[in-house]
Amino acid sequence: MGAANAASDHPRSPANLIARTVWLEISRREEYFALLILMGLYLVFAIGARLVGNTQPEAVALMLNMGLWFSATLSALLTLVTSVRLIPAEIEARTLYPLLAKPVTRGEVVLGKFLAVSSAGCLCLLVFTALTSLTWAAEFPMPGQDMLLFAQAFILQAAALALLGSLAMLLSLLAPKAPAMLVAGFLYFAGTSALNVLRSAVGSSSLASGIDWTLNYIPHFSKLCLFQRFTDGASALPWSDFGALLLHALLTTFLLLTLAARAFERRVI
Amino acid sequence: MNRSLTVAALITYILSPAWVRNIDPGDYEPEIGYSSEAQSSRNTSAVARLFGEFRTSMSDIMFLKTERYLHSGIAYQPHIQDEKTFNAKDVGTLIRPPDQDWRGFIGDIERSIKPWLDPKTHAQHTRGAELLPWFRLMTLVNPHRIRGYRIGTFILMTSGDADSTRQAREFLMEGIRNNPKSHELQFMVVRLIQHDLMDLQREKPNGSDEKSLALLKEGLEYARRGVEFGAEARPRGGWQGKGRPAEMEDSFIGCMHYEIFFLRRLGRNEEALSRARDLEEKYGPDPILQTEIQELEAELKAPPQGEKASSG
Repeated sequence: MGAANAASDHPRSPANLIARTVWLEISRREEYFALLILMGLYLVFAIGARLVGNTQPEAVALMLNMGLWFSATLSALLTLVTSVRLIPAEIEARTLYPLLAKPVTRGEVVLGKFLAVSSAGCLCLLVFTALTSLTWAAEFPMPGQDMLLFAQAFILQAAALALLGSLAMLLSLLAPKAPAMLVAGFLYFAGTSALNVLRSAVGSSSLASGIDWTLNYIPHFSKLCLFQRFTDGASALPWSDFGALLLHALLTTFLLLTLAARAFERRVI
Repeated sequence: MNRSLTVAALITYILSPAWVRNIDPGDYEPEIGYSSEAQSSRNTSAVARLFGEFRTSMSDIMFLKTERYLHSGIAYQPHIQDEKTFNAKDVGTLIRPPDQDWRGFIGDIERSIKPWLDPKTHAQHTRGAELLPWFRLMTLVNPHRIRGYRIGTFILMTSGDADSTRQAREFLMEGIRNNPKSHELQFMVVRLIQHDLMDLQREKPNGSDEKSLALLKEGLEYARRGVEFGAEARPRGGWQGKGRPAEMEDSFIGCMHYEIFFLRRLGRNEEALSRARDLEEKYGPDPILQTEIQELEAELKAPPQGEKASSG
């Protein structure tokens, strides 16, 4: 009893406290239930398909792919929508002033909100992925599908969500909410295609190599989304490639968060 | 501490393109669900069909657009890619013809306001050159879209413009730069070279000048590379099924045939015979290779005559 009291009396870090508040807010918002409903729709169809005996391997592979794609996309939407509006909404509602009046730095505010957003996104991904996998438990994994690749895909997808959260937070501090959401969403869902167009447009000119190098500083979310690769039955990534992609994603997240903290510190509220 | 950590992270980040730029997790050969058999099986599931629409990627949409454009905007079912079933007898339009349409005047209205022709006249294709921007865009969006490069090259090559083969070659070389291990694209170069050789032959029916000799040598290199790359990726029994697997198998076999044809045209008959036997042993019996072997055996047994003997 005494030990429990001692644990509850132990002061939590400000970032942790802020994260808990954001978590509470996320769990109370009704619009997030829309994501659950969408995932529920998929599950109704998937379970219906199972019950009526649609279990040909090709159909299962497609449905599994759709479920994992849904899980990743809905988690990304939750992360994107939440992280873009967290700080601007608090500034508009003036609820940020009481928070800043407390002994917390602005960097801790950014970190706390980021932790909440990315952990909410990862939890959403975990729950939806688990639901999808459980729906097809009897066939999961299918012959040819590599569980090591599944684990890699999950970890890289979680890193992609963290990266998206940090990018959206930074953009929301530099631009109004709508453009910030559009730019971050575009980069997440269509960034690689757009960057491919840019690369091809440069072609084999003398500047091509330099431009190609520079474009790699823009987050390539598609490199972190491997669920399609898993359901297509491809092999796991070599550890060097997996490590390099993960490290790159984490470094980019860290730097974007540092920039977001700087932007927030300089912002006059 | 924080500052030094940030500086270290920044330096690592600045150097990061060196190790991530060449990693492309999307560049792989899918093992599950892409053969025509798999598609047919999947299409028997109503739920899979319903959800399958979501999976259509941007470049797939573009491919369907180009296909539809080739048919003057008319949507046919099955698609052109399933060539074996694409004949006037079996093909239907997405909008049903009057004798199969139970909707009466509503069907008449739809046929009047949307592109529609009787399925029996489906062979009225457009020239195709208008499609080239779509193929350009398709390959820009996804540089690993080998089919886009292949069909785009074919349309360019056969467009009849004065500069067509040069443009086709440029487009195809871009495809090879982006997909250096694709045997299908190597085969397209072989076809392009064959196209040039035929043009040269039309210009000089009796002559074999240095230009055609150089083209033959170049074609032989590409055919050999096509066989090499194809053999690395080919499953034991070959690519099975219609659609894309058939195209991959056809390209591989085409490279084998052209390797032998080019060797013969270069007068290297003994090498051609030994290579044809080797290919047949490795990849199974093939009627064209067998014919080539028979012809070559007969030629090499026969007493040398005239030019053939001197060039051989």
